[in-house]
Amino acid sequence: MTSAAPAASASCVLVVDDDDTVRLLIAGVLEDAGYQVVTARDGAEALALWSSRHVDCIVTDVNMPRLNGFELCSRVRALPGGDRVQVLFLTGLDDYESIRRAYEAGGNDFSLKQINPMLLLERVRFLLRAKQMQDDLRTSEQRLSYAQRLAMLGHWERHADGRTIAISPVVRELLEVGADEDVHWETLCALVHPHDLGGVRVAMQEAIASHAAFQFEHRLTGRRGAHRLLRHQGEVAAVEGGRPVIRGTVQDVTDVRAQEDRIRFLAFHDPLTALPNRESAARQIGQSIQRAHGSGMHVAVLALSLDDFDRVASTMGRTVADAVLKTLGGRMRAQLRALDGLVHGATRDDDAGCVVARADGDTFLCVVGHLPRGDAALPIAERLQRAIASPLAMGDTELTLSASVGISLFPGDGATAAELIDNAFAALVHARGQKGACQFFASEISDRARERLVLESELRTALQERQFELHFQPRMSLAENRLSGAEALVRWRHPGRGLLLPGTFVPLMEETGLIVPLGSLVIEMVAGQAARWQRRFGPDFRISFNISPMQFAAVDLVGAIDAAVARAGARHAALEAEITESAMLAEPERVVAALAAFRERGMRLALDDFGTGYSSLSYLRRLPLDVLKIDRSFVAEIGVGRHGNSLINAIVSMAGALGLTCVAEGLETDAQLTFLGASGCQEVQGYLLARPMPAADFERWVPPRWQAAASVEAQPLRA
Amino acid sequence: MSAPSALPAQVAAGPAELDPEQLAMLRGLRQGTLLPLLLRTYRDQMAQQLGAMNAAVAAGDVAALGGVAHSLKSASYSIGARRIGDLCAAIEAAARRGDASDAPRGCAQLAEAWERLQPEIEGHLAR
Repeated sequence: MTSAAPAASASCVLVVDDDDTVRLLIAGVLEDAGYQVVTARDGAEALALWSSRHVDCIVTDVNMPRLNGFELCSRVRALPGGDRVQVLFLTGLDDYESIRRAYEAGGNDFSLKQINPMLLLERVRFLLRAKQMQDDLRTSEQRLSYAQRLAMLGHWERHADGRTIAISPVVRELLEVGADEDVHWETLCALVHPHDLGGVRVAMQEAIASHAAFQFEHRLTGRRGAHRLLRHQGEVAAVEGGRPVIRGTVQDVTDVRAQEDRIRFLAFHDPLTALPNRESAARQIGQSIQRAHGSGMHVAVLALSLDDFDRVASTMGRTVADAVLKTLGGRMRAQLRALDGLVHGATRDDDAGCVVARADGDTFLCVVGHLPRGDAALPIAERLQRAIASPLAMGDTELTLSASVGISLFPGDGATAAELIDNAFAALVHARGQKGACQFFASEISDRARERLVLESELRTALQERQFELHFQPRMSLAENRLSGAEALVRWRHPGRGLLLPGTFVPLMEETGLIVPLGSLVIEMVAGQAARWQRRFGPDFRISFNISPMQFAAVDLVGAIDAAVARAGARHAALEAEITESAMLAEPERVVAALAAFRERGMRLALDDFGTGYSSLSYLRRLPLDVLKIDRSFVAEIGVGRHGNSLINAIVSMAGALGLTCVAEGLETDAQLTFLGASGCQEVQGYLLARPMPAADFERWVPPRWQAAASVEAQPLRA
Repeated sequence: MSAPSALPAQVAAGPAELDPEQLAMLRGLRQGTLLPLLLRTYRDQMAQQLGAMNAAVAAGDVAALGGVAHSLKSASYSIGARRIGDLCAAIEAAARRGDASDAPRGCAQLAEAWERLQPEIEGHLAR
């Protein structure tokens, strides 16, 4: 039987045996396997060959005239490159002494002489593979060390005794330690700048205590060292006798840090005036809004433009125009700073939220936070206008400019930075008409904002007065042909507008965070209903309800559910939480932990709207799910679109493979029902069965025979 | 008391001296060209070394005897001549203990086995 090896194994094997038959056979087997083979009758001949050929592996007999196998191996090992060749000894079955000596002489392996030559071939293959790996490793180590030198990345290891260390040459260079200097851990610590030493020790102690990776930066002692910043990163690599072995890398990040600072500055500043830019102003407005929120304080945004500045630029040139902008920017900054010191006692611009930024061309944005009254913005605007109006000396000419200002106010004129900026500019358009004027955002509050504010305040009342109620839409098990549960859907019974669907109020509640108290209210109502219905519909009946991503972050969701369940006398097992994939976006660990806690308590977990979001398989694997809800848009495509049917089939079989129960939402036609039944989808929900309805209607809707817990007899699906 | 001899009382006759499995394997190497080469090499080696072995016995040179037996053993196993390989192993083991008492009988059995193997090898070579 010939085993043709791939041509890639063109390694060279040197076969050394004084016995002609044996040598011939081994050479034949190896050649057949695709190796290059050279042969020698004894060690001396082999050594002579070694110098003229590249050899990857030597297969040698032990007892040979002139130079035996052991001597051959020892001599080869001493030659250049001889440490990398694989040496396989051929020995007798009971020849333990030879085996021992073979290893002593530096052999890698031994094989019995009487062995089937095919097995010998496998040995050789294994050795050559091991050699390849060693060679690769050596190459990559060489590359790594080269790369480390290029990057000036040093590495160090502190041994388990906590004192002795091994450091790479780059570390010595970075720390300016001589090549022959004896270095211990404390030697290194003594080189750390005294102000940074505490932080270094804390970072190390924390890493040791928690076995986590660490990272810290420090300056060095000495005049030169104080200006250099070194960054260490590392981890506890092993624990020996209860004590940590720590490995780290160190890099000089002085230049990197300086560049980062420069980039950060450029990202948020206008290069000409060195004032903050528009993005920076927006950020400042956002922060001021946050601080002012609910405090009754106002934030003013002033949009300011220089009147007729185009003429200055065209008559005096771009250079002068730039100089003017720089000077006026400086004046405005000085004014705001004085204001800060005066009004707020703050020492830095951003402390009190007073910032002047260059928005664009000849327009500037000023942000003033912490105003007790909105109209207090007016004197500030006038003060800035006066600062701009004082004459400018430009060479031998004097220049007098004026500025127009538009003002928007938080909370009256907008709730976000973008809105405030837009409205300030809108006001500025009016002001520019009169040159040097100052105009508040005229209508004060846009229609949209007014509507929003009304709705928000109504929602707050609705929460207090519990104007929300739950409607229930039945879920049917197709396999068992019975009621399996209901999805609880929230409705708002608006005092003036009647019953409102979630689409009209949930987005704003999510935006304002009101969704969190609403979610808690829903949980309470669901638990109460579950307690009432567990007797009526039996222990398998579940109520599913939606959890908003915000709830995971804002409240102790697990605790809230536990409390609601306990108060109502319900069981966790009667509840099913529905989440959407977006819940995983913010804090996946926190969400997964909460979901795991739900599940521990017997609650089921459903992934809602599957197919509309990211539909990431990794979420499906990561989340402890029980149920996959196929989005109604897919159900609507059944029998319609080109791929409608196959998509459903694909989702159902994927759910099956993951052990998830499939629920199709939005069931509206008999054809859809038939198709879903055939596809293996276990449960359905939709108008074909029933619309969502109040609890009392739901009870009336359910056929009497289903109301006894035990009855799972076949019933027509639709009553 | 000398160690029990590993030599068989008699050399048993078998249907074929060469192990068929080993032969099949060897036949597959180098598209069948290796087997005749191996058999010819072995035959020449055997003719030469049997003489050397007899000479060593006659001279009472146990070390030389062991050396020859060792070499023949490996070669024999290589081509699948188990019986001769085993005989050589026994002779080598005794020689290594310094025991030459059984050597003449071993050599005789070896010659006998070779007489049976040789025609078989010639048969393969003639094919």
